[in-house]
Amino acid sequence: MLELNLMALLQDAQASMSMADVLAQFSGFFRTFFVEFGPRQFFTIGALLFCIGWYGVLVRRNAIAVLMATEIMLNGVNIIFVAFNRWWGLKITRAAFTAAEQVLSPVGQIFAIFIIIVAAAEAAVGLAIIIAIYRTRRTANLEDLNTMKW
Amino acid sequence: MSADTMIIIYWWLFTFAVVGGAVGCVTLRSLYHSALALVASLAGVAGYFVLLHAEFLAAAQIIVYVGGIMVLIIAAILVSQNMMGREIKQENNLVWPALLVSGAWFCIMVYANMRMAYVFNPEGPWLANNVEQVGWSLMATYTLPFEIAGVLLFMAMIGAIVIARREPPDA
Repeated sequence: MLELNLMALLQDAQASMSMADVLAQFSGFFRTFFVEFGPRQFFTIGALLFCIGWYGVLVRRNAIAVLMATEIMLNGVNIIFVAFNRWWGLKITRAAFTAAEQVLSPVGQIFAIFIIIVAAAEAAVGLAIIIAIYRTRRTANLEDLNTMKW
Repeated sequence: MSADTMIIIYWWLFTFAVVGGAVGCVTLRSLYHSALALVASLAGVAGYFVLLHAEFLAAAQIIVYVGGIMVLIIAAILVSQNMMGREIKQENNLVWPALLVSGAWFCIMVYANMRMAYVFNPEGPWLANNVEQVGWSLMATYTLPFEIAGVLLFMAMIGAIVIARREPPDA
C-alpha cells in the first residue's frame, strides 16, 4: 500500500563524495534551479520563508511584528507540505457504499489545512493577549515586558 | 509559448511576491507597511497553491489569511498605535546574530535538499478534482482531527473574547 522508499531517498547522502563532487552538484543545482518547476524549487522557497520568519521572530521588537513573522514561518511549512503532496501522492482505497476506487491521498493538503486552522486560532489569541497587555501596560514592545525576566 | 514556460513564468512571479513580501514584512519600519507586505506574501503563497493543483487550499488561504488574519492584525495595529512611528527603532540588538543563524540554517537546508535524491515521479500524480478529494478526506479519513480543530477554534474564539474584553468578568 504505502510505497515510501525512505532508504532510497537517503542512499545518495550516505555515499562518500569529495569536495569537488559536492561543488559540481551545487553548480548543477543552481543551473537547473531557475528553469525547472519541481519539488526542489518549492523546498528552497519554503526554507527561505522559514528562515526569513525566524529572523523576524528573533529581531523585531514589536509583538505584532513577531506574530506576523510567525505567520511567515507557518506559510513556508505549508508550501513544503503541499509541494510534496503534489509530487509524492500516495494511493489510497476510497470505499463508498458499494464501490471502491484507488485515489490519490491529499494528506499533505490536509496537514496544511490544519496548520491554517491552528494559525488562525493562534493569531486570534495572540492578538487578544497583545491588546490586553497594551491596555494595562501601554506598550506592545517586547523589551518592556520584563517583569518575569531575571 | 508552451504550458511549461508559462508555469515557470508564473512561478517566478509568485516567487517575487512571496520572497519580496516576506523580506519587506520583517524589515520595514512602519508596522502598517509591514502588514501590507505580508498581504503580498500570503497572496503569492495562494498562487503557489494554484500552481500545485491545491485549489481548495488556495481559496482557504485567501479567505482565512488575507481576509481574516490580516484584518485582525491591522485592527490590532490600529488599537496599539504608538509603535507605528517610523522614527522608532524596530530591531533589537540581535540583527547580526539572527542573520547569521537564519542564514546558516537556510544553507544547511539547501544543502540537504541538493543532496537528496528524489525518487518520485517528476511528472507526478494529477489531482483531478481537488475539492472533492479534500472534502472526502476531511469527512471520512480525518474526521476526528477535523472535529477537534473545530473545538479548538471555538475555544480560541471564546478565549480571545474573554482575554480582550474591557471590564473584568463578574465574580
